[in-house]
Parts: sequence; structure tokens; C-alpha cells
Amino acid sequence: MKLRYYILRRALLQVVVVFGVLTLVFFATKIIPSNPLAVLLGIEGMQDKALVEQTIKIWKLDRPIWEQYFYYLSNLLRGEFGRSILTRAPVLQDLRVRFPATVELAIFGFLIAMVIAIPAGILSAVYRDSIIDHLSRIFSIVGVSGPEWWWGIILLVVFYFFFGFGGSGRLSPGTPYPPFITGMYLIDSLLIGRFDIFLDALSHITLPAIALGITRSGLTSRLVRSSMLEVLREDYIKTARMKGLRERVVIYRHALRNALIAPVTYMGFLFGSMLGGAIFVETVFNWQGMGLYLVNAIFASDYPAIQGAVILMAIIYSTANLLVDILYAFIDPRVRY
Amino acid sequence: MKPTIRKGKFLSTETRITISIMLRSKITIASILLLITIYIVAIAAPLIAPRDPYTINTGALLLPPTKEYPLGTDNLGRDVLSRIIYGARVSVFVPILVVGLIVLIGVPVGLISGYYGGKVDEVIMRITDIVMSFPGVSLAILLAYIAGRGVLSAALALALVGWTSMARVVRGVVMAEKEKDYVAAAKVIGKSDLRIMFEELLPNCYYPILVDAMMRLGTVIIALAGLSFIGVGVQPPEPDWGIIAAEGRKYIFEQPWLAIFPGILIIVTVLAYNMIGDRLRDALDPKLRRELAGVYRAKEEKEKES
Repeated sequence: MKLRYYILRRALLQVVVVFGVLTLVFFATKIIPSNPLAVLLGIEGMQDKALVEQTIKIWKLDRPIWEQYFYYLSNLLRGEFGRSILTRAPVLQDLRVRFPATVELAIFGFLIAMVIAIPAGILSAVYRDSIIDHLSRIFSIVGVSGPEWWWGIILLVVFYFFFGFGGSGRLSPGTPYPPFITGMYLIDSLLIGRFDIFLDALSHITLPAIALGITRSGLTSRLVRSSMLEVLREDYIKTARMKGLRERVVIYRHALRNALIAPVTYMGFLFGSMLGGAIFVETVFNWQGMGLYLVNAIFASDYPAIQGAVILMAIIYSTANLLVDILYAFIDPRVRY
Repeated sequence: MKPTIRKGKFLSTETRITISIMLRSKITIASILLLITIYIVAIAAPLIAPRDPYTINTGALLLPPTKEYPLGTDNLGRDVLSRIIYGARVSVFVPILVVGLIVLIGVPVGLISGYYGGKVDEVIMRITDIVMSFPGVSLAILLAYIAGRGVLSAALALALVGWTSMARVVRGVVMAEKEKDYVAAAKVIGKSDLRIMFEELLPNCYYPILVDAMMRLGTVIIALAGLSFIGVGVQPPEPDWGIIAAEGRKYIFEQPWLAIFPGILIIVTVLAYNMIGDRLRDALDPKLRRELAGVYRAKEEKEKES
């Protein structure tokens, strides 16, 4: 199959998945036995007669279910996610501000996971069954076993409380917000040339990103390790060794590049799991991203906001997977067949 | 090959080999003992907990650990140790229920998908794609919220989200097995599809199901505690490890142990499941098995001779 067709087919599948996501979210409110008004408004909101009537009108709850469904779909496809009960602003407008904050955190966490996991996995494989291997495996299994929020709390207590490093929020109180260009403070502050804001933002993003990275680095380093072990058994590695190349050249020039191909497929999943993990880390660090938006919406019984955040996360995640699949098809032609 | 069952022996040779490989590892034994201890403490909570986990004591707010309160008290003066012991009931047993539900949903779906293939498989796989395109627990949060906050909705939500990987595992095994002779033979003697799936194919999936379930227990414990932590799981005043940490989070700089201790218990429990699951996966590694099977056969022959 040509690469073009592969991409086309994969993109079509993506359309099906996004459509499925929207459908699933809609029917979840219908299939799970609950009062749709209670879901939409919360128990307190149901006391307000005017609000109830308005909600029935907005969501067309008095119409047949298929009509509600098409109305819901057409609204979402036009980018109309409804208004948040909590912030009173359109959900999409809220999320547009929150989205870069979460992506910034996820990318930074991703980098930290990689910086820990790739060397750990390689050393583990090269020095198999040595003390390095055992330590790195213990670290990875402990990392995976802890909830993100717990790592976040530990980091906050140790580094912020005892050493005064970082802290809650995206910037220290008193630091001016950079203008909204990309919405990622690390980038925006550099774009306007404010190095002081950049450093402050950097110190604030480090701890939550580590909390996200620790749990993911465990999984990744195991994957790198097993992939590296597999590659080291290949014939071309034996050939390289027989040619008399130094071990370092064999490992870094010949083995490493091939060993990192397999973990690439996993990157999409990793990024998605960071979006999921961000829900907890943002709660602990009061990080104003999509995850915290979702949690605040839960406490405020703000269904439009919950729905919008969950749908947007699913769309971002499945798009990331789409990109990874296409990237992988470029790197490794075998998947196209 | 199907496991051979010897007469007069309680367990098949295959099972005994697996058990013997499992028990050779000290870490596995320690993990099993640890889990048994946690189960006993959770079941016997009323006997073991020093105090009532719900009694509010305004005279003893946020106390540090003392002899009287080994883990201190929370913001309402409740004994944290007692709350953690009672909290184990939800945090440890509900995930077992969730994984049970995951097996109940995932296994039949995987059997059907793998056995029939074609369009049925295509549709089921697209559904799993859709469910899996929600990152982390976000879909579970949505479902639990819709069903009304509480342990039961959280458990159901986690099961409704978690069956996909189990279905894929079973589907994979079934697809590899269904072309084999014994399935063809079963068809020839007129066994129904349902009986072929459950009597012939399912036994081949037992071990993969067990490994997946073991690994899943750990992630479900973390997910359930996470749902409680952000408010869609257990509701106050009921204790579970997630909500104890959530309540303690407001005081992390004054009383850090409130939030840290439940987390340590989660890590320890999840670690134990992961260790057992890991070892189980190793025990099913064909290479290691063959080695041990040889040891077994030699031993049995010796017994016969004597």
C-alpha cells in the first residue's frame, strides 16, 4: 500500500473515532439511568424553575431522542459546546485558554519521562542483570505503582515546603502574566523577551511535570529495555562487533537507533496518559489547565463544562495517536502493508 | 495442546508447574502474604481499628501522631489510622469487584470478536478504539458523574471503560487458536459455536486473562482512589484511601502525613499486585516452563520407580 493510501485510511478511521466519541458521550447521558435534568443542573439547580425551563429549551429535552442527538451533533460540529454554569462563559472559550496550559505541562512531563527513561532503559539492557539493571527496574515498578497526585504531593512537600522551589500555580504571585500568544508561558515569555517570567514559569512547571513524568518513565524505560535487548541479539549487531568496532560505537550508533523505533508507537499512548494524569497533577498544583477545569466543574455540577473538557481531551488524544501512526509509517515502511 | 489432567492429582501438571515457579520467588511470596494481611485487616476493620472512623472530635483537630492517635487526627478530629483501616475495605475490595466485571464483559466480547471475525470483529474493534480514545480516567469521570457520584457509579464506570484491553487480549488468543485441529474437530462433531467458544477456546485464554486481571487490579486501585480524590468516587464521610488523601491535601504543609500515608498504602498494594502479575507472566514464558517441566518429569519418574 502506498503511504498516501495508508494516511488516507488512517484519517478516515479518525473521523469514525471522533464521531463515535461524540455519540458515546451523548448516549451515556441517555442510557445510564439518571434524571437528565439532574445531570445537567445538579440537585440545587433543579430548584430554580426558570433555569429548568431554559435548560429544557437549550438541550431540547422535550423533543424525541434522535432530534436531541442531531441537534447535539450539529452544535458540537459548529464548535458550540454550550455555556459553563460555573464561569458563565462559552465552554470552548474557557478551554481555549486552559488547553495550552495542559499541553505545555504534558509536553514538559513527556520530556522528563524520556530523559529518565531512555538512558535508564538502555543502561538496563546493556548491563543486563547488573545492579544498574535492578535499580532501574525497581525504580520503574515503584514509579508505576504510585498515583500521580501522590507524587505531586510528595514533590510539593519536599521541594516547595523545604527548599522553596516552585510552588502552586503557573507563576508566582506578583509575576505578570505574559500576553496570550501561544498560551504556553514558557514560550510566550521568551517571545516577548522576558527572561525573568520564563525562569519563574520554568520553576513552577518543573514539579508537576516530574510528577507526571515519574509514573510514565517507568513504563517507557521497560519498553526501551526490552526493545534494546531484542536489537542487541540481531545479526547486524553481531556483525558490527565482529568487525572489531568498539562497544560504544556498536551500542550508540548501531543498536540505539533501531531500538528506539518500537517505543515510537507508544508515544501517542504516553501523551494521552499524560492528559489523563494531568487531571490529578493539576488538582494538586492548582495548575489552571483542562484537568483542573474538569475537576472544578465536577464540584460545581457543571455538566456542559465536564462534557466539553472530556470531549476535547479525547479529540486531542486521538489526533496525537493519528500523528504518531503516520510518523511511524514514515519511519518503518513495514506497517503500511 | 490442552492441559493433561492426571487421575488422582488435584491439580494438572501445568498448573503445578506454574505454582512452583511462582513460589520460587521470595518477592512473590512476600507480596501474597502482604495482600492477605491487607485483606484480613480490611475485613476485620471493626475489630482492629482503635476508634470509630466517623466520630468527630472537635477537641482533637489535626493532631500530629501520638500514642493515642498513631497517625494523628484529621481536620474533624477523626482518627486517621481508623479511617485508613476502614478505607481499605473500599480501596482494596471494590477494585476486585471492578476487575470481576471487566472479565465478565471483556471475555465474552473478545471470544465473539475473535471467533466470528469479519464484520462483527470490525465493529467491536472500532468500539474499543472509541472507548480507548478517552485519555486516562476521563471517560470514567464522565460516566461516574452521570450515574451520580458514589462508589457504585465509580466502580461501574471503571468497568465500562476497562473491558476493552481484556477483550483484545482474549481476541488475540482466540484468533491464534481457532484455526487449530481441535476446533475443527469440535465443529465436525456438531458442537455449537457457543460451546466451542466457552468449552474449547476459553480454557486456552485462562492464563492471559489471569495475567491481565492481575495487572489490571493495580491500575484500578489507582484509578478508583483517583476518582475519590477528585470527588466522583466515595463521598464523605465514608473513608477510602483517595478521599482521605483529598481531605488531607488542604493541610499538606501542616500535616503532610494525612495525604502521604494513604498514598503509601496504595503504592504498597499496587506494587504487590504488579509483582505477582509480573512473576505470573514470567512463569508462563515457554522457555522457563520447559526447563521446569523437565525437572518435574524427572521427579515424577523417580517417584514411580520407588
